Amino acid sequence: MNTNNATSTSLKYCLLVGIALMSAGLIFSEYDFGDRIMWAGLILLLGSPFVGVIVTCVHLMKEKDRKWVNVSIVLIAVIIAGIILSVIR
Amino acid sequence: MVILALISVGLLAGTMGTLFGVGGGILLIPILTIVFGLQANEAVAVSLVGIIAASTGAASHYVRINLSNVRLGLLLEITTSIGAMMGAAFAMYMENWIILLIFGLVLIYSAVSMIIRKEKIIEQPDDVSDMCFSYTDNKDYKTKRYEVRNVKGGLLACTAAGIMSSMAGVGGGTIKVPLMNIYMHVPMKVASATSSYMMGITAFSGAVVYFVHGGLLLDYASAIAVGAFIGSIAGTRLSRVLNSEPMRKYFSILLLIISVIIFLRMGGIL
Repeated sequence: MNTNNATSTSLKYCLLVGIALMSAGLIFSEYDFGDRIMWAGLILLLGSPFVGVIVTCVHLMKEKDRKWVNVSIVLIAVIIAGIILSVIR
Repeated sequence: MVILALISVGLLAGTMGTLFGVGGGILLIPILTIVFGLQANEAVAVSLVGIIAASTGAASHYVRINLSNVRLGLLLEITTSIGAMMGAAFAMYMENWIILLIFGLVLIYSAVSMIIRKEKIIEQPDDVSDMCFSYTDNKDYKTKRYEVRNVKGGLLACTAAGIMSSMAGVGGGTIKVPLMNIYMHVPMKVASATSSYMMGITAFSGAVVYFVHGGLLLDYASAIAVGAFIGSIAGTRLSRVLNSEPMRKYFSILLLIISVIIFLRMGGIL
Protein backbone atom coordinates (compact mmCIF):
# COMPACT_ATOMS: atom_id res chain seq x y z
CA MET A 1 0.00 0.00 0.00
CA ASN A 2 1.48 3.37 -0.98
CA THR A 3 1.27 6.60 1.02
CA ASN A 4 -1.77 7.93 -0.83
CA ASN A 5 -3.76 4.70 -0.45
CA ALA A 6 -2.87 4.40 3.24
CA THR A 7 -3.82 8.03 3.92
CA SER A 8 -7.05 7.69 1.96
CA THR A 9 -8.02 4.45 3.74
CA SER A 10 -7.40 5.91 7.20
CA LEU A 11 -9.43 9.04 6.34
CA LYS A 12 -12.24 6.98 4.85
CA TYR A 13 -12.71 4.53 7.72
CA CYS A 14 -12.41 7.13 10.51
CA LEU A 15 -14.94 9.28 8.69
CA LEU A 16 -17.38 6.49 7.80
CA VAL A 17 -17.49 5.08 11.34
CA GLY A 18 -17.78 8.62 12.76
CA ILE A 19 -20.66 9.55 10.43
CA ALA A 20 -22.41 6.20 11.05
CA LEU A 21 -22.25 6.77 14.82
CA MET A 22 -23.46 10.36 14.48
CA SER A 23 -26.37 9.24 12.28
CA ALA A 24 -27.28 6.52 14.80
CA GLY A 25 -27.04 9.10 17.58
CA LEU A 26 -29.44 11.42 15.72
CA ILE A 27 -31.93 8.57 15.21
CA PHE A 28 -31.78 7.61 18.91
CA SER A 29 -31.53 11.21 20.18
CA GLU A 30 -34.75 10.71 22.20
CA TYR A 31 -32.95 8.16 24.37
CA ASP A 32 -30.13 8.80 26.88
CA PHE A 33 -27.59 6.75 24.97
CA GLY A 34 -28.19 8.79 21.76
CA ASP A 35 -25.95 11.62 22.98
CA ARG A 36 -23.18 9.21 23.96
CA ILE A 37 -23.22 7.62 20.50
CA MET A 38 -23.06 11.09 18.91
CA TRP A 39 -20.09 12.09 21.10
CA ALA A 40 -18.22 8.92 20.08
CA GLY A 41 -18.92 9.71 16.41
CA LEU A 42 -17.84 13.32 16.86
CA ILE A 43 -14.51 12.32 18.44
CA LEU A 44 -13.79 9.94 15.54
CA LEU A 45 -14.80 12.54 12.94
CA LEU A 46 -12.75 15.34 14.49
CA GLY A 47 -9.70 13.13 14.81
CA SER A 48 -9.76 11.81 11.24
CA PRO A 49 -7.67 14.59 9.54
CA PHE A 50 -5.00 14.32 12.24
CA VAL A 51 -4.98 10.50 11.98
CA GLY A 52 -4.51 11.01 8.23
CA VAL A 53 -1.41 13.18 8.80
CA ILE A 54 0.08 10.61 11.22
CA VAL A 55 -0.56 7.73 8.77
CA THR A 56 1.04 9.78 5.96
CA CYS A 57 4.07 10.46 8.17
CA VAL A 58 4.46 6.75 9.07
CA HIS A 59 4.22 5.71 5.41
CA LEU A 60 6.72 8.35 4.32
CA MET A 61 9.08 6.94 6.97
CA LYS A 62 8.62 3.47 5.47
CA GLU A 63 9.40 4.90 2.02
CA LYS A 64 12.47 6.64 3.53
CA ASP A 65 11.35 9.89 1.98
CA ARG A 66 13.36 11.95 4.47
CA LYS A 67 12.46 15.42 3.21
CA TRP A 68 8.70 14.82 3.42
CA VAL A 69 9.00 12.92 6.73
CA ASN A 70 10.57 16.07 8.19
CA VAL A 71 7.81 18.20 6.71
CA SER A 72 5.09 15.99 8.23
CA ILE A 73 6.82 15.91 11.65
CA VAL A 74 7.07 19.72 11.67
CA LEU A 75 3.38 19.92 10.76
CA ILE A 76 2.38 17.52 13.58
CA ALA A 77 4.45 19.60 16.02
CA VAL A 78 2.84 22.85 14.80
CA ILE A 79 -0.68 21.39 15.11
CA ILE A 80 -0.01 20.12 18.67
CA ALA A 81 1.57 23.46 19.67
CA GLY A 82 -1.40 25.32 18.20
CA ILE A 83 -3.92 23.24 20.12
CA ILE A 84 -1.98 23.60 23.41
CA LEU A 85 -1.70 27.39 22.94
CA SER A 86 -5.41 27.72 22.09
CA VAL A 87 -6.54 25.61 25.04
CA ILE A 88 -4.29 27.57 27.45
CA ARG A 89 -5.57 30.90 26.08
CA MET B 1 -37.82 19.06 10.88
CA VAL B 2 -34.92 21.23 12.09
CA ILE B 3 -32.59 18.24 11.77
CA LEU B 4 -33.70 17.64 8.16
CA ALA B 5 -33.20 21.34 7.35
CA LEU B 6 -29.71 21.22 8.88
CA ILE B 7 -28.85 18.10 6.86
CA SER B 8 -29.94 19.96 3.68
CA VAL B 9 -27.79 22.98 4.58
CA GLY B 10 -24.83 20.67 5.22
CA LEU B 11 -25.47 18.96 1.88
CA LEU B 12 -25.35 22.28 0.00
CA ALA B 13 -22.21 23.49 1.80
CA GLY B 14 -20.52 20.08 1.40
CA THR B 15 -21.19 19.96 -2.36
CA MET B 16 -19.96 23.52 -2.97
CA GLY B 17 -16.99 23.11 -0.66
CA THR B 18 -15.87 19.86 -2.28
CA LEU B 19 -16.28 21.14 -5.81
CA PHE B 20 -14.21 24.27 -5.26
CA GLY B 21 -11.91 23.28 -2.40
CA VAL B 22 -13.36 25.80 0.02
CA GLY B 23 -14.53 24.92 3.50
CA GLY B 24 -18.14 25.96 3.19
CA GLY B 25 -17.93 28.01 6.41
CA ILE B 26 -18.70 31.18 4.48
CA LEU B 27 -22.09 29.62 3.62
CA LEU B 28 -22.69 27.77 6.88
CA ILE B 29 -21.98 30.60 9.33
CA PRO B 30 -24.47 33.16 7.89
CA ILE B 31 -27.18 30.47 7.46
CA LEU B 32 -26.72 29.09 10.97
CA THR B 33 -26.77 32.54 12.56
CA ILE B 34 -29.53 34.15 10.48
CA VAL B 35 -31.89 31.22 9.75
CA PHE B 36 -31.29 28.99 12.79
CA GLY B 37 -30.60 31.79 15.29
CA LEU B 38 -27.29 30.42 16.61
CA GLN B 39 -24.74 32.67 18.34
CA ALA B 40 -21.66 33.41 16.19
CA ASN B 41 -19.34 31.21 18.28
CA GLU B 42 -21.88 28.33 18.22
CA ALA B 43 -22.19 28.68 14.43
CA VAL B 44 -18.39 28.65 14.00
CA ALA B 45 -18.09 25.48 16.10
CA VAL B 46 -20.85 23.66 14.18
CA SER B 47 -19.42 24.91 10.88
CA LEU B 48 -15.95 23.53 11.72
CA VAL B 49 -17.44 20.05 12.22
CA GLY B 50 -19.21 20.36 8.86
CA ILE B 51 -15.97 21.47 7.19
CA ILE B 52 -14.13 18.44 8.61
CA ALA B 53 -16.85 16.05 7.38
CA ALA B 54 -16.95 17.54 3.86
CA SER B 55 -13.22 18.01 3.40
CA THR B 56 -12.29 14.59 4.82
CA GLY B 57 -14.94 12.90 2.66
CA ALA B 58 -13.60 14.64 -0.42
CA ALA B 59 -9.95 14.17 0.54
CA SER B 60 -10.33 10.41 1.07
CA HIS B 61 -11.44 10.18 -2.57
CA TYR B 62 -9.07 12.76 -4.06
CA VAL B 63 -6.02 11.36 -2.20
CA ARG B 64 -6.80 7.80 -3.38
CA ILE B 65 -6.97 8.87 -7.06
CA ASN B 66 -3.84 11.03 -6.58
CA LEU B 67 -5.64 14.29 -7.33
CA SER B 68 -4.80 15.79 -3.92
CA ASN B 69 -1.11 16.55 -3.65
CA VAL B 70 -0.54 15.26 -0.10
CA ARG B 71 3.10 16.39 0.06
CA LEU B 72 2.34 19.93 -1.10
CA GLY B 73 -0.65 20.01 1.28
CA LEU B 74 1.52 19.02 4.27
CA LEU B 75 4.10 21.67 3.38
CA LEU B 76 1.65 24.53 2.87
CA GLU B 77 -0.34 23.52 5.95
CA ILE B 78 2.68 24.24 8.19
CA THR B 79 2.70 27.96 7.42
CA THR B 80 -1.11 28.09 7.19
CA SER B 81 -1.34 26.72 10.76
CA ILE B 82 1.34 29.14 11.99
CA GLY B 83 -0.56 31.97 10.28
CA ALA B 84 -3.82 30.85 11.91
CA MET B 85 -2.15 31.01 15.34
CA MET B 86 -0.77 34.49 14.56
CA GLY B 87 -4.19 35.58 13.29
CA ALA B 88 -5.88 34.50 16.51
CA ALA B 89 -3.44 36.73 18.42
CA PHE B 90 -3.70 39.70 16.00
CA ALA B 91 -7.50 39.54 16.07
CA MET B 92 -7.44 40.87 19.62
CA TYR B 93 -5.75 44.11 18.52
CA MET B 94 -7.30 44.84 15.12
CA GLU B 95 -10.75 46.15 14.22
CA ASN B 96 -12.92 43.47 12.59
CA TRP B 97 -13.99 45.71 9.67
CA ILE B 98 -10.35 46.25 8.61
CA ILE B 99 -9.79 42.48 8.47
CA LEU B 100 -13.00 41.93 6.49
CA LEU B 101 -12.13 44.78 4.10
CA ILE B 102 -8.67 43.33 3.36
CA PHE B 103 -10.16 39.85 2.96
CA GLY B 104 -12.90 41.07 0.60
CA LEU B 105 -10.38 42.97 -1.53
CA VAL B 106 -8.08 39.93 -1.73
CA LEU B 107 -11.02 37.82 -2.93
CA ILE B 108 -11.98 40.34 -5.61
CA TYR B 109 -8.36 40.52 -6.80
CA SER B 110 -8.16 36.69 -6.93
CA ALA B 111 -11.47 36.42 -8.80
CA VAL B 112 -10.50 39.04 -11.39
CA SER B 113 -7.04 37.45 -11.84
CA MET B 114 -8.59 34.04 -12.44
CA ILE B 115 -10.97 35.47 -15.04
CA ILE B 116 -8.32 37.56 -16.85
CA ARG B 117 -5.24 35.34 -16.66
CA LYS B 118 -5.01 32.05 -18.51
CA GLU B 119 -4.11 28.95 -16.48
CA LYS B 120 -0.33 28.51 -16.61
CA ILE B 121 0.94 25.01 -15.91
CA ILE B 122 4.56 23.84 -16.24
CA GLU B 123 3.70 20.68 -18.18
CA GLN B 124 7.25 19.66 -19.06
CA PRO B 125 8.87 19.97 -15.68
CA ASP B 126 12.52 19.72 -14.82
CA ASP B 127 12.70 16.12 -13.49
CA VAL B 128 15.56 17.00 -11.12
CA SER B 129 13.25 19.15 -9.04
CA ASP B 130 11.53 17.41 -6.12
CA MET B 131 8.52 19.63 -6.70
CA CYS B 132 7.51 17.75 -9.88
CA PHE B 133 4.26 15.83 -9.56
CA SER B 134 1.67 14.14 -11.72
CA TYR B 135 -2.04 13.44 -11.52
CA THR B 136 -4.61 11.56 -13.54
CA ASP B 137 -7.34 13.82 -14.83
CA ASN B 138 -10.63 12.16 -13.82
CA LYS B 139 -12.32 13.52 -16.96
CA ASP B 140 -10.12 12.09 -19.72
CA TYR B 141 -8.05 9.63 -17.54
CA LYS B 142 -4.77 11.03 -18.94
CA THR B 143 -1.76 11.37 -16.64
CA LYS B 144 -0.62 14.99 -16.57
CA ARG B 145 2.62 16.30 -15.11
CA TYR B 146 3.21 19.65 -13.50
CA GLU B 147 5.88 21.46 -11.55
CA VAL B 148 5.12 23.53 -8.48
CA ARG B 149 6.89 26.89 -8.71
CA ASN B 150 7.39 29.81 -6.30
CA VAL B 151 7.32 27.52 -3.25
CA LYS B 152 8.93 30.02 -0.84
CA GLY B 153 6.55 32.78 -1.90
CA GLY B 154 3.66 30.32 -1.67
CA LEU B 155 4.63 29.42 1.90
CA LEU B 156 4.70 33.09 2.84
CA ALA B 157 1.35 33.72 1.17
CA CYS B 158 -0.12 30.73 3.04
CA THR B 159 0.95 32.36 6.31
CA ALA B 160 -1.03 35.42 5.22
CA ALA B 161 -3.95 33.14 4.23
CA GLY B 162 -3.83 31.52 7.68
CA ILE B 163 -3.77 34.93 9.41
CA MET B 164 -6.63 36.21 7.28
CA SER B 165 -8.83 33.11 7.64
CA SER B 166 -8.31 32.95 11.39
CA MET B 167 -9.08 36.68 11.81
CA ALA B 168 -12.10 36.67 9.49
CA GLY B 169 -13.40 33.33 10.82
CA VAL B 170 -13.57 31.60 7.44
CA GLY B 171 -11.65 28.77 5.78
CA GLY B 172 -8.52 29.63 3.83
CA GLY B 173 -9.57 27.76 0.68
CA THR B 174 -10.79 30.94 -0.98
CA ILE B 175 -7.22 32.25 -0.79
CA LYS B 176 -5.25 28.99 -1.11
CA VAL B 177 -6.90 27.71 -4.31
CA PRO B 178 -6.18 30.86 -6.40
CA LEU B 179 -2.74 31.11 -4.79
CA MET B 180 -1.81 27.55 -5.80
CA ASN B 181 -3.35 27.96 -9.25
CA ILE B 182 -2.19 31.45 -10.25
CA TYR B 183 1.08 31.85 -8.35
CA MET B 184 2.38 28.29 -7.90
CA HIS B 185 1.14 26.94 -11.28
CA VAL B 186 -0.75 24.02 -9.74
CA PRO B 187 -3.57 22.82 -12.06
CA MET B 188 -7.01 24.01 -10.89
CA LYS B 189 -8.36 20.51 -10.15
CA VAL B 190 -5.26 19.61 -8.12
CA ALA B 191 -5.40 22.95 -6.28
CA SER B 192 -9.05 22.40 -5.27
CA ALA B 193 -8.42 18.77 -4.24
CA THR B 194 -5.28 19.70 -2.26
CA SER B 195 -7.15 22.53 -0.57
CA SER B 196 -9.89 20.04 0.48
CA TYR B 197 -7.22 17.86 2.09
CA MET B 198 -5.66 20.84 3.90
CA MET B 199 -8.99 22.22 5.04
CA GLY B 200 -9.72 19.26 7.33
CA ILE B 201 -6.35 19.64 9.07
CA THR B 202 -6.89 23.39 9.60
CA ALA B 203 -10.45 22.87 10.88
CA PHE B 204 -9.30 20.06 13.22
CA SER B 205 -7.16 22.46 15.29
CA GLY B 206 -10.05 24.91 15.65
CA ALA B 207 -12.69 22.28 16.37
CA VAL B 208 -10.62 20.64 19.12
CA VAL B 209 -10.59 23.92 21.05
CA TYR B 210 -14.41 24.16 20.92
CA PHE B 211 -14.63 20.48 21.83
CA VAL B 212 -12.38 20.94 24.88
CA HIS B 213 -14.24 24.08 26.04
CA GLY B 214 -17.64 22.43 25.48
CA GLY B 215 -18.95 24.96 22.95
CA LEU B 216 -20.35 22.41 20.51
CA LEU B 217 -24.09 21.91 19.90
CA LEU B 218 -24.01 18.16 19.46
CA ASP B 219 -27.22 17.53 17.50
CA TYR B 220 -26.67 20.53 15.20
CA ALA B 221 -23.06 19.48 14.55
CA SER B 222 -24.10 15.87 13.85
CA ALA B 223 -26.84 16.87 11.39
CA ILE B 224 -24.56 19.31 9.54
CA ALA B 225 -21.78 16.68 9.44
CA VAL B 226 -24.10 14.01 7.96
CA GLY B 227 -25.32 16.46 5.29
CA ALA B 228 -21.81 17.72 4.52
CA PHE B 229 -20.55 14.14 4.14
CA ILE B 230 -23.30 13.33 1.60
CA GLY B 231 -22.52 16.65 -0.12
CA SER B 232 -18.84 15.72 -0.38
CA ILE B 233 -19.80 12.53 -2.26
CA ALA B 234 -21.98 14.57 -4.63
CA GLY B 235 -19.17 17.12 -5.09
CA THR B 236 -16.57 14.50 -6.02
CA ARG B 237 -19.01 12.99 -8.56
CA LEU B 238 -19.68 16.43 -10.07
CA SER B 239 -15.96 17.25 -10.33
CA ARG B 240 -15.53 14.26 -12.66
CA VAL B 241 -17.67 15.84 -15.36
CA LEU B 242 -16.28 19.37 -15.09
CA ASN B 243 -13.31 20.72 -17.04
CA SER B 244 -10.63 22.90 -15.41
CA GLU B 245 -11.39 26.05 -17.39
CA PRO B 246 -15.11 26.34 -16.53
CA MET B 247 -14.20 25.46 -12.93
CA ARG B 248 -11.95 28.55 -12.80
CA LYS B 249 -14.87 30.67 -14.00
CA TYR B 250 -17.33 29.15 -11.51
CA PHE B 251 -14.79 29.57 -8.74
CA SER B 252 -14.26 33.22 -9.67
CA ILE B 253 -18.02 33.81 -9.51
CA LEU B 254 -18.10 32.09 -6.10
CA LEU B 255 -15.28 34.38 -4.88
CA LEU B 256 -17.19 37.46 -6.04
CA ILE B 257 -20.36 36.25 -4.26
CA ILE B 258 -18.36 35.62 -1.08
CA SER B 259 -16.79 39.09 -1.27
CA VAL B 260 -20.31 40.60 -1.56
CA ILE B 261 -21.37 38.59 1.55
CA ILE B 262 -18.28 39.92 3.36
CA PHE B 263 -19.04 43.54 2.45
CA LEU B 264 -22.67 43.05 3.54
CA ARG B 265 -21.39 41.65 6.84
CA MET B 266 -19.09 44.67 7.16
CA GLY B 267 -22.05 46.97 6.65
CA GLY B 268 -23.98 45.12 9.34
CA ILE B 269 -26.62 43.94 6.86
CA LEU B 270 -25.77 40.24 7.42
